[in-house]
Amino acid sequence: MTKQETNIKNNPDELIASVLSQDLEVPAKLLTQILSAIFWRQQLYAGLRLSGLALSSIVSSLALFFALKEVVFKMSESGAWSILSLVFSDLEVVTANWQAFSLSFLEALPIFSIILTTGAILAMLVSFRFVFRNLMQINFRPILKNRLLIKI
Amino acid sequence: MNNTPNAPDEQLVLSYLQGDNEALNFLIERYLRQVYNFSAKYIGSAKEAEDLTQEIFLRVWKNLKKFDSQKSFKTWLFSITRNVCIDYLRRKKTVTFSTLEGDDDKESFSDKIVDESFSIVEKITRQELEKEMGRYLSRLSEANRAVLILHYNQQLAFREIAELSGESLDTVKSRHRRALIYLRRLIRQDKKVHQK
Repeated sequence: MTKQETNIKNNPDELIASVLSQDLEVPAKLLTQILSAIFWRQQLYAGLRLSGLALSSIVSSLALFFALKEVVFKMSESGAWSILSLVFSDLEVVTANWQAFSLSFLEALPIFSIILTTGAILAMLVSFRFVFRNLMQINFRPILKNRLLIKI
Repeated sequence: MNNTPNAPDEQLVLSYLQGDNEALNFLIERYLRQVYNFSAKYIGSAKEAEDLTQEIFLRVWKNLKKFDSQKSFKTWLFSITRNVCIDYLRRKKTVTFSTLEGDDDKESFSDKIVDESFSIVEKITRQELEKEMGRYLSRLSEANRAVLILHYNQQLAFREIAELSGESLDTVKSRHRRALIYLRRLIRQDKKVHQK
């Protein structure tokens, strides 16, 4: 009996523990496989996020366009433009009665449309910010390399 | 943050979350061997353990934001590893022989056995045990098997195993004891058959 051979009758637990503690050799390619699987998923998720954000940027830009149009229309409807034009035509009168002028101007402003426009501006800016951040995360080089390899 | 492969786990996690991809590579490299070994021993197949190891690290990557840096990364990693292995075995619906060992909640036959020494002439060589260990392990219940592998192969303390499995320390110790007793019984039965 060699030294390695142990009599389980004497110390079974030690032998079991020793056999259990033995490590198997990790396949050489496993690390690369895992890293590339994670890399491709990172790219996929960033791409998906980018598509979603690009869509929301387009939607918020359109919303901003219509909201601005609405503000301009409501301002001319309420006479806010006419009140504002007094600043250019009769500046002296406006400065002399600036409190009454301000109050009239504020009353003529389409507040709801302005709030909507501000919201659309914010949504667009946030979307642009995230689109830019996601663009920075995507590593285009391996994708291009892969496409080239497929062509070859 | 400037990371080295020797940086603590928690620092590497933090660096990855701050955008350093290399930190994740270091973490995976550090634990690849352990996760692969646990999976291979737990499911009893080195080949399938490769796919499972990949799945485990993908799940780790996806959930890294949820990791509580106040806790041990190793314990967290092995709780994921254990869950993925359990899911895999459930998916596979492998008929294990764990029923032989008895339901975990009930007192099993092995519990009644006192830690007896072998009365019959039975010797097992290390080589024999290495060869048969996979088969013996597959006959343990999943929970008991996990305790043995985590304790002996991954050198986790019972307290850490209790933390990752969500069981009490006493339960883990009991699982360990029962698993060893059952293993000895299996070996003894095998030797008897061979002797006949």
